[in-house]
Amino acid sequence: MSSVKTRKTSSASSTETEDTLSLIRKDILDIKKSLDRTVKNDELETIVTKIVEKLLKKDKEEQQKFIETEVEKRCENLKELHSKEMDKIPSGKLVQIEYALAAVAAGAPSVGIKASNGVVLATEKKQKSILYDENSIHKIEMITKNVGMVYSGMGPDYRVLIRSARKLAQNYYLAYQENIPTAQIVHKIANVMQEYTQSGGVRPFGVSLLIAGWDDDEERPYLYQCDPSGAYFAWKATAMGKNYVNGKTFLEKRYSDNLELEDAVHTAILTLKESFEGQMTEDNIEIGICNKDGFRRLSPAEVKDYLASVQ
Amino acid sequence: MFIFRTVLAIAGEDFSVIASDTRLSQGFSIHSRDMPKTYKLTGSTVLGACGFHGDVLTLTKVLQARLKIYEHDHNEKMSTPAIAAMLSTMLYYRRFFPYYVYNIVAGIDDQGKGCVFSFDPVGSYERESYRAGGSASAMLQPLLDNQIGFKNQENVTKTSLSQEKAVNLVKDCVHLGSGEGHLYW
Amino acid sequence: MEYNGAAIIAMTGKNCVAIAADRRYGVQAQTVATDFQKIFEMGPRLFVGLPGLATDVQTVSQRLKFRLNLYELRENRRIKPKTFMSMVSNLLYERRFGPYFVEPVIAGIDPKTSQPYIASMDLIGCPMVTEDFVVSGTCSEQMYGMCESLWEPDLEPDDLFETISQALMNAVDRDAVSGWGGIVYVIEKDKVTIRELKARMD
Repeated sequence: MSSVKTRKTSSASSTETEDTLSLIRKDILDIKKSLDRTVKNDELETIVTKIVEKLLKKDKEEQQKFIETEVEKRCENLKELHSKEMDKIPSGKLVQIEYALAAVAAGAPSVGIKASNGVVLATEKKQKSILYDENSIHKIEMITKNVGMVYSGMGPDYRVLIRSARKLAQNYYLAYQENIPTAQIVHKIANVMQEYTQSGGVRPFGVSLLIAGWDDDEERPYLYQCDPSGAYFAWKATAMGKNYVNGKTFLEKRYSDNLELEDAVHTAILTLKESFEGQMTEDNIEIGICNKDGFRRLSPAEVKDYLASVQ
Repeated sequence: MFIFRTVLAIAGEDFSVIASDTRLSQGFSIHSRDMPKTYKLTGSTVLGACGFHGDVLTLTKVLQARLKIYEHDHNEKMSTPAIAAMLSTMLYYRRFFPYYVYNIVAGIDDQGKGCVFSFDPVGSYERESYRAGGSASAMLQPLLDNQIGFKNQENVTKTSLSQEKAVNLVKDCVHLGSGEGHLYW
Repeated sequence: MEYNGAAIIAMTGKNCVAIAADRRYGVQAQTVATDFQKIFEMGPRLFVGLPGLATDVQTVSQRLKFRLNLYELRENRRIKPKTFMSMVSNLLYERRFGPYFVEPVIAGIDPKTSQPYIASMDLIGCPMVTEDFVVSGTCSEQMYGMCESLWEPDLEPDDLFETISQALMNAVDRDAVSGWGGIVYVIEKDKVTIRELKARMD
């Protein structure tokens, strides 16, 4: 539709120009007649031609400008149509991932700390209404006997990841009759997340993950973070979600290499507490631990005991 | 068809040993765990027969009758090599409807030496110093080759077999074959 | 399985394992070569023996090595014999309805715990892990008979070599399509000894 409009406009303007020209010609002739010998013919001609040229040029510029804006508009439309994969902006940033990271940064805080004899994961689980049943849906989930994870960001996206992580882990077990090493499952989950940044018809996951595992072979704990881009990091301790910068600063001060799991649980709670609004109870936080006996989520009663010893 | 599994025999300098398992089976089911398939033919000859049990029964019955006739005719027991020769002809007689039986005859020969004869179902036979027969023979024969024939062994003095070693070996073999056994020597 | 003929045994000893194979490559009754490789190195302390159809022996050994290399690069560690066994089993079961005609034998020492490990498998990957010995090939009955009576627990490497060699040689001498020389790998924690057997060649 806009293209039709453009053509119409341009043709209209050209007839307009012709009209103006003839009018000017007429004027010139009048001037010539009245001032026959006063002004040199050529001189006048040049002046007028200049005027006309100027007029024409101005018109052309306007046309060009119109076309340009029109093209730009259409490009915008196209972009909107293809927005899912067409949003590479010359700055080098993939904005969809930026959005995903923003979703994570706005999500509930999670903390992970690696101790000498295990790993702890902790997260805030604040409910919008007291009517929610806090003990039916969990944020900390087990992937295999010796690996568990937690997220900051969008809950529904997390469920998809949990499902594929468990399936990947079982596929590994099926192939090798051996539990998947933490590094391997992290790698596989990160692959899934990367795929969602590059496939058609999908968007990146709006979650970052903390993955805690115990390696039976090396007899040591692992803590990984996995981002929507598919980038992953191995941490001694880290925080994600709302106020993660403060959380990390806090951990930097509190962390030591010879931390034991029990102390790590305390530190994790304290880190959450840094940014916690309101009273912290066994129902609005979740804690998971992973050591040589495997991964498990602490029961509300156990969490309560820890909270009591922290306060 | 009821099948017997294992017989084996070893000849020593002045003795021979023959043994069998005592299992009677059909396919994968066991009919009896106490059914020896060695038959004492004379004071110095024992027959071991495995294969189809019906044929084994018939063959031993006919054989024993023939031995009795011989004893009456000649007023003496038949020698082990003679029994072997006769058994061969009896088997070949049924060349085109054979007894489904693998025989091994063990005993003492005319010179008082231990002897073992092994047969195929149609009467081809051979005097040997040891032989395993029946369905477990594939497991036992290489062991006998090695332990009695000293096959694949270097720098060994090939001593003649003692009765004790022979009996022990045979016991091992029978256990290897099926776990239940019966032994003559 | 009987087209080319083969005999392979693996045995455990005290902190060691041994794997032995014959060396014949034949086409039915006709012997073509007497230096055929049936045991393949899958790691410094891990070997697999592949008796069966010669073409499948080579294909399977190559595909196993392929998967193993990818595994070790991906995981940046040595494979455990037990894990390798699963890998072999999976490879074979993927061809459940058009199998490779090989019945593998695996022998190795765990790179971490130094535990001896032996296993055998049928042609579609059903594993059998034992503590004493495993056999596979055209004269498996003969080999069972030999192993059953010669093997004893906690054999030292040299005794284990003697035992497995005698078991192999006397077994193949009662089989028409295997034999013609033998090769024995004795695997210990820090060394592997390879010996060729001088056997009867008829």
